[in-house]
Amino acid sequence: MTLGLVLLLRMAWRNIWRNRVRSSVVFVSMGLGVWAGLFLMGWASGINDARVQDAIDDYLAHGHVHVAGYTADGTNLRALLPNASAAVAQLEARPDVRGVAPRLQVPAMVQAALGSSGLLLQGVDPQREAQLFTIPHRLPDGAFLADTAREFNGVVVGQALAKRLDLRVGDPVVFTYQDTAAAVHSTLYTVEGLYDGTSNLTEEAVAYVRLDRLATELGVPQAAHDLAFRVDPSDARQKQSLEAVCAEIQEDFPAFQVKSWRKTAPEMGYVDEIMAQALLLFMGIMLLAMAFGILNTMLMAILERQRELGMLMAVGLTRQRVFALVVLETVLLTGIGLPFGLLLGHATLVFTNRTGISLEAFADGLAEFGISPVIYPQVVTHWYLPVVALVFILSLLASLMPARKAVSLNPIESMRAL
Amino acid sequence: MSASQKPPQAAVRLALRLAWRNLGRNRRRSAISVAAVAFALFFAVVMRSLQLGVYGHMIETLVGNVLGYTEVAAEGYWPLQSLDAALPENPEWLAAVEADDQVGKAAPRVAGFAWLSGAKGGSAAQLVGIDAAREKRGVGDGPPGSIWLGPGLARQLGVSVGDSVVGLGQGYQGSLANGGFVVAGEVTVGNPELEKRLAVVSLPDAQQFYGAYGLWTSVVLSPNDPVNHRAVAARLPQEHPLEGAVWRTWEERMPELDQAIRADSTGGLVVLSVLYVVIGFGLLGTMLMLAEERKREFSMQIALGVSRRLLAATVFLEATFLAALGALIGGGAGRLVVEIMHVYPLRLRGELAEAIVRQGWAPILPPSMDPSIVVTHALLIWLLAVLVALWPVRAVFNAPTVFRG
Repeated sequence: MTLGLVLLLRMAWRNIWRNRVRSSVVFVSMGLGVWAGLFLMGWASGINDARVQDAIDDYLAHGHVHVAGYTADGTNLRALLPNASAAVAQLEARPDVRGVAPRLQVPAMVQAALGSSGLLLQGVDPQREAQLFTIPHRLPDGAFLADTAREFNGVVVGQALAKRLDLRVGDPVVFTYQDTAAAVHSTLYTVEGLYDGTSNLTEEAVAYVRLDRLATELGVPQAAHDLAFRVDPSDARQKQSLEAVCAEIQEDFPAFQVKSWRKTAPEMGYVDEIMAQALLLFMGIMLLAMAFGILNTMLMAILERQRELGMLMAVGLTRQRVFALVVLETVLLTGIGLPFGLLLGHATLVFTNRTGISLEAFADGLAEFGISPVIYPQVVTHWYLPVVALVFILSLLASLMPARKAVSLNPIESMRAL
Repeated sequence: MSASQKPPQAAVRLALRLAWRNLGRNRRRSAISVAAVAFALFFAVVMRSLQLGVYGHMIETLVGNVLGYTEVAAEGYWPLQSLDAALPENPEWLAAVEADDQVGKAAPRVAGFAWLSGAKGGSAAQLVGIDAAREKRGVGDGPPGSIWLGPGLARQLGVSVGDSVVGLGQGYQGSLANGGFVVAGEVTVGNPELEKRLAVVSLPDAQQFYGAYGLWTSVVLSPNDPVNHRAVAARLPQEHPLEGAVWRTWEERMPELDQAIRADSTGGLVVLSVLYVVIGFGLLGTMLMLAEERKREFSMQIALGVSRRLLAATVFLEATFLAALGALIGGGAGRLVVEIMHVYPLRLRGELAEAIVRQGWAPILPPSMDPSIVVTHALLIWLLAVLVALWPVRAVFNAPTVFRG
């Protein structure tokens, strides 16, 4: 039996090289298909990872502590953590927490000299915010709430909003909002800085003021809506370990809710999963298209060899062996192109992952999706095995029809054929 | 009897007939080639229709419902959208624009931002005065002082029909805008995110609220056929000039959205082109086989005096037929699926749907019904097939007159 298999393998291998041009077309198309497929997967993963990372660095953090009923759009003003500084200290004391930033969030209307708009006013502690997020460090103009003078109401707005309302550092703006007792406040602030966020939507939708000023205005001193925290990067990378850390923290704060970013911004996490499915589906479609080519080639090979196959059967090669021969030949044919595709794909991903691919031409449009214009494709090694499996399953399927055709040949008639 | 001596028309007819009959010689191979082409085109049509349909839906909800395809406003209105840059009312000009054959809708608006307070809470909102008779949205028409709120906004304010709402904001030329309204109903635009801060009142109510008497902040125009809205937007200012006004298409006002759509669309085309390359190689395999199988026949025919050109034309036409047949089947099947999805649009469910609603869009995937999608991609794949068919054509010209096989 083993000897038979070795013999069949050798025959299959030789058969492949009988028509080099034809076999090469299959190798090349397989190699190209796998290469392009892997690159697209790496590309899409790169975009998505960067988008998530930018969101985490800009505003999302790794996890949040708040009371039940809190919403991130600030629409439930009364969902307050009453003694925020105590909670911050308790959270900070944990060895697995790398930084904590308390925030107050209130929907507001901003009025500038020339226009008005709606946004979320976020009260933050400037030092802590700078520890957790990159926005306080990305100010092309002005400073991030550095002026601590008692009477000074500074605000940092996004560049996109500044552009729309024609605001510059030093300009006065009026914010109108309601406090927890439903009283309407209109307060004058001065633009202290303009921040550069990854997403234009964020830039238009969020403005930063000092936490203590806003708390006083709202009549809720010492309170915060949300404590954003970061954990150790190694814990944050894996979904399970981040959830585990959040569950542990939850035990420390039985009265509050502790949620990972995947729970507070589920749309960010889902994109990951949806994309994985879409990519696998696309790879499947492409490989199915490739299977047509393989099927075609193998059918051609069988028809060409009718006479020879008839003779082999006449001298005693069993039908099972003939079937196995055709299947082996098909698998080998696909198997040769595959490693080249994988290797080429891997090399391309490793290279572009280092250099990055610049899409400056689309920068404004990408910012709309919160994507930075230089894409670093990911080396998606975890996709290699599924791709290899898909290729083999499809090549096996593609071999069935020619193999059946070969088996159904009548030895005597085949020998007489041209 | 050599074909080259026949009149050209007869030769073409002969080549056509031979090519057609050749398709039946190896039915299985023909079927596989047709299937490969049909398969690729089917996916291309469905994928592209869905992709373009989603953009169309985005544009329709955002542009058609809210922004308007073209906006006529005073020089300094965009991007500040400041009330102070308002136009004087001009009913004669509006009537003239409305009478244009290609204009579907021309509606004046008075738009600004205001802080709205309700029983439970407050929110910043875009308070827009519309001409109910012209916008035909079923809102904006009621007793004076009526207001229609986006569902999200109504929830935030904690009000329902019959409750009162107080507005406070910046009025015309620094005046203080303030007034009370009674909730008359909901206004929906297909984008939950926008509906969180959209309030609609009648045009006179808005003029009174903002103190912008006798003024329009903008006039939004929608063409009868959105496909050529740019051409309409380019023609109208010449025929119906309005002093001090600037005409802007939505692409000019929202270049980022336009570019985002283009970027994503380009990505879709890249993905499709990879599929096409793979299919191209599959077809090349078929063509190799075709040339291989007939080497002997080619040589014999050439030896018998059949012109190489006739033979080449035959194999070329054969490949063309295969591709055309595949394109017909794939394109037809793809279009059928698109038609079905048009009647029963894909509705996303569960967590994915929630995620999309959070991004501000309705969780449905309506396909684009643009027939040019089928035509473009059928042509593309047909061209690909024709390119690949050059291989057997080459084989015909290289075939030796004496074949020893």
